[in-house]
Amino acid sequence: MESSQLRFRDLISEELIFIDVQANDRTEALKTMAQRLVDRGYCKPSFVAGILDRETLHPSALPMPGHKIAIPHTDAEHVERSAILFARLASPVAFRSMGDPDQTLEVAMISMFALKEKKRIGDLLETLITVYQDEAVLDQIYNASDARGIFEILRSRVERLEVG
Amino acid sequence: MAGKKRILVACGTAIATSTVVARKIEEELAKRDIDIMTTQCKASEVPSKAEGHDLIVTTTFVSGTGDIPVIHTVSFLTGMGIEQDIEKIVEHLKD
Repeated sequence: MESSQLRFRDLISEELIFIDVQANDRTEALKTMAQRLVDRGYCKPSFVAGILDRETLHPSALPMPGHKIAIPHTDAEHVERSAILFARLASPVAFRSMGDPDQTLEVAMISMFALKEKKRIGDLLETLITVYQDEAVLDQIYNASDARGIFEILRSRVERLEVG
Repeated sequence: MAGKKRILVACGTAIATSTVVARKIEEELAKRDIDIMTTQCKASEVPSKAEGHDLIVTTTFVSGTGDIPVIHTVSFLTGMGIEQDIEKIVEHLKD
C-alpha cells in the first residue's frame, strides 16, 4: 500500500486498545503505553523517551466536549511500523494542557500516535480530532465495557470520515 | 487590501496539530472571502521563520515572536471557541 493512502482504520486494532490501565501519573501512563508499542514491535526502544520528552516540551492534553483527552506523539525516527494505540486509564491522571501548559487536565482517555509516514500525521490527527469533537462518541468510548467495543466505535466513526 | 496576509501556524512537530489548525483557518477565512496564506513550522523554528508574517497562531508555547501578534489556542482542535478565535484573527489581519 502507498504510504500516502494509509488510513486511520488500518492503524487501529483490538490488540492496541487497552482499558483499566493502571497509572499513578502522566509519566507512568505514557511509559506503559509507549512500552506496549515497543514490546509488540511497532516502535524502537527510543520511542519511550521520545514520547516523554515531547510531552514535556509540548503538552498534548485537550479539553474536548465533555471529556479531557491526550494525543501524545513523537518523531517518526522512533517508529518501525505505524499504529495508533488507545488507552483508557483505571483512574484519570493530570496532564499539562496543550492550550495552557500552566494548567492541568485530568485525562482518562489517551490516543498515542506512532507514525512512520510523517506526511500522514496531519490527516490522521484531523480524523481523530473530528471523532473526538462529538461528546456522544466520547461518552460511548468512556463507557464501553471492553476493548472490542471501543474498537468498533472508533472503526465505524473513522470509516464514515474516510470514504473510499 | 495590500496583498495576501500571511499566517504562521506552529506546533511541536510542524506537521501534526498545525496541519489541522492551518486547514481550519483557511476554510473559515475562505468563507469570509479573506484570502490568506499559511505556513507551518515547529514551535522552535518560530524565531527564525516569523519574519514576513502578519500573525502567528500556535497550539503550543512559542517565544521569540518579536512584534508579531500571537494567538495560542486549541479551539480549532476541540471545536469549541472557533468563532471567537476567527474574529480575533480577522481583527489582527486588518490593515
